[in-house]
Amino acid sequence: MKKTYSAIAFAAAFSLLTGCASNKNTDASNAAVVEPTVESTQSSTNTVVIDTTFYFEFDSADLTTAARSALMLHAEQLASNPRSIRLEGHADERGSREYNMALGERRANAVRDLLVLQGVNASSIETVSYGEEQAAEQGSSEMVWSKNRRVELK
Amino acid sequence: MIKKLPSAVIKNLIVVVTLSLVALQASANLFIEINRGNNNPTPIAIVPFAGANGLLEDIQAIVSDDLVRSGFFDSIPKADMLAFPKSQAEVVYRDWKMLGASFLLVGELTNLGDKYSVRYQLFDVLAQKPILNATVSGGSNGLRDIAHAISDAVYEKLTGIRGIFSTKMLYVQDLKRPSASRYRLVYADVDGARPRVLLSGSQPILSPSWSADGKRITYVSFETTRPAIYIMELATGRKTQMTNFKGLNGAPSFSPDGSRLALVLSKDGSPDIYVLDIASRALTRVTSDQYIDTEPNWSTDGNSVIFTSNRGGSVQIYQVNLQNGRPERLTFEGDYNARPRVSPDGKSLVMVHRSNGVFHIASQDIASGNMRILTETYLDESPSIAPNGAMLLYATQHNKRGVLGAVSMDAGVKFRLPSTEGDVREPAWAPYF
Amino acid sequence: MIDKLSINALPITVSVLLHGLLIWVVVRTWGDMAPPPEFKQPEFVKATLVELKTKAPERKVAPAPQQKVDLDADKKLQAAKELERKAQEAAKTAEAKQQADAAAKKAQELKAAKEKAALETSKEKTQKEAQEKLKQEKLAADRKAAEDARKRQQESKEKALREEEMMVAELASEEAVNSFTAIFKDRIAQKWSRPPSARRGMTCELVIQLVPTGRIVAVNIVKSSGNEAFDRAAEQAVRAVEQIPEMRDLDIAIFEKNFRTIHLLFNPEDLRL
Repeated sequence: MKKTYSAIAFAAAFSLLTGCASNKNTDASNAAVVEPTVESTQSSTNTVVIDTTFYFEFDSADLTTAARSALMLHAEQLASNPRSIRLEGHADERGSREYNMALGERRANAVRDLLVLQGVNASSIETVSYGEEQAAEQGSSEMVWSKNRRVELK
Repeated sequence: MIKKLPSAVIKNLIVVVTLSLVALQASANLFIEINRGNNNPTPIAIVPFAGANGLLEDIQAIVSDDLVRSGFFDSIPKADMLAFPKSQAEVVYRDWKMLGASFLLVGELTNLGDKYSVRYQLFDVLAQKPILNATVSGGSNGLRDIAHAISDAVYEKLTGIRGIFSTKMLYVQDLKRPSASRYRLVYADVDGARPRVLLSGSQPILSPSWSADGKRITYVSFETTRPAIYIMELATGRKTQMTNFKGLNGAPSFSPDGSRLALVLSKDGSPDIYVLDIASRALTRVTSDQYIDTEPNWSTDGNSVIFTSNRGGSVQIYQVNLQNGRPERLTFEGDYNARPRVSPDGKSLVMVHRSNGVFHIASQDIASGNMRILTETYLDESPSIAPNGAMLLYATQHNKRGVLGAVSMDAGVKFRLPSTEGDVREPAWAPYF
Repeated sequence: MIDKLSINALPITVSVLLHGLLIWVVVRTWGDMAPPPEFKQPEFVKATLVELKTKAPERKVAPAPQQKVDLDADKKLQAAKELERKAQEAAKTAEAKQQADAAAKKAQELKAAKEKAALETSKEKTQKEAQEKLKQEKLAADRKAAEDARKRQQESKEKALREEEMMVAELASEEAVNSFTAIFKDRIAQKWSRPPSARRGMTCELVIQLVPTGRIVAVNIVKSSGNEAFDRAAEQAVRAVEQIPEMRDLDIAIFEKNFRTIHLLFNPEDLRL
């Protein structure tokens, strides 16, 4: 009992840290197997929620490890349930506007490239960059800026 | 035949000439060099024009605001004026000198029924003489234009530089709330008056830019849910979509002769500079690499394009000759230089420049490479140079709102244009036309 | 006629030019001459004209009583004062006359005595003359030598004094030039507001005229910068300064030498562009 409890607690804590969730299937219910990376939650309608927003460093289009993990899950999901997706790239307000458009596109492309690498059909992915035109949050602090350097998967 | 002068005469001659020269030397020949001055604005008294009371526009206030905003003038307050002369005969120079005015502007407005005619005179108060005497007229809707024409004439006479008070600008307004017209492309007088919305929508509008003849503008709009480049004819309002490529369609810029657009497309992999022939729609690729190349601006001779690129590892400004060349780097100071704009005389560049983590507008002399930071505000972007090359507009923030700022090219004058609602940004200063 | 003219053309021209030059020089320096000092010794003049003027005081006294007829009290006082002054003058002239008479008499007495002595000693004189002559010549020579030496000493002393005075004057002049140059630079710079079209390298030259009160009475551009606005700003700067009041206390000679006409060169080295 204690073992299961601690396993769940450990997994929960880890999933909090990684911010990811998995749709690993019913096998998990049989044994208290500790999944080292993700935790799954199941709603009644059987949909799974993966992070759809990925963040970046200033002037960079490099994906974080967390982003990669989430994207791999997305790739799997799309493999079984193919649909068209739209990747919207954004940048924070600093610097020039058109350069930020290019940066947003870079980021969206990075996400697209990973998905394609994971087997997603390229023609089902649309990428658009909004540059700094549509900020998620208003303000001029590093905190706000970090929230705006993103790609949204829709 | 000239007789030879007797020696006695010569002797006397020498004596007298020497004596005279000695007497001459006794007078002063002191030379003093004045090699510094002040940066103070010149005080000018602008007297309310006779016959201009109660009109829809206050000509005196417009002229005064224009000249003060240029940064080179101080306007003597109306309340301090002892008299309101309207012509030379009524001017008592001493009175104006006492007020501290160096110059005096007076005038008289006549209503001719279908138009107004204003006769104005400018006086040098210290030298006590008139230096400008002219008449300007305009339709009854043209009071602001009349006032700006007077400001231009006074400014040019006293500074030697053509005025920009009658010029126009474009800017983008973002209401910052969901709306069918959240984003607007606005056309207005350069002092912000008489704004006219040319385009509005719920999707972003950006990068407005003028053709050299002032008849067309180009811009990027997301109205199709993707960025696309458009050209609008100002007289008719007619819009033409010029691109619809996959990926980026951005940063359009008219060539000096108005026949081509330089623009950015990423359809072939990464953002590159292309040139589009407007009439034939023929597309020519200018850069071809895996880097970000964007924000093209034409050189004044139309042979090169100056653009932003991160090909060197950091964001810098490059120039490429359209016939042949490889891109050549222009900026070497600072770790971020972008969004170049060439001055009308082709001698300098303005750009967004990061220094100590702060984004300012900087100017760079193309020949020497000397760079100067022009603004003291930060988070500055989108510089646009005035057609007289003496000032520039740019976008900045003030009290958490996007506003337009203006600074002179010698970094001496700074002021802000307030926004009416939401954010304003991306100013594009119209050319003289 | 024409022949003669051409032969003399050069001398005539030279002569005219020289005269013109002279006239110009004289006219230029005319105003610099100090007015002649007030003549304060009327007595001498009157002394020589004593014979003619003896009637004058009497004549002057006569009208005075007539003034007494005036009934106005003020005028009476004025008249009385006038009378007193004239009486003093009369007394002075009388005294001068007396002195002149006494002097004349003394001169006459001296003259008579001299003549007498001359007659008495004329005979002895011829004998002693020869001896005296030699003695006198030697004495004269000695005296001359001493006199020369003294003169030389005096001259060198005076020369040294003059040189020192000149040096002091030079120093004072130099000092004045330095300190006023600094004042000019400062005051004009304060008022010189450059137009936005001004650039480093643009220069213009002005000539200004001052009067001893330090007021600038004329401003003229002698070399334009080519930029009307730049020139005007320089002119305005000078007009705005208007006057250097400290110049009033300056020695007039130093003023004349250095400050009546001044050349100003406007050269904006401090411009950013």
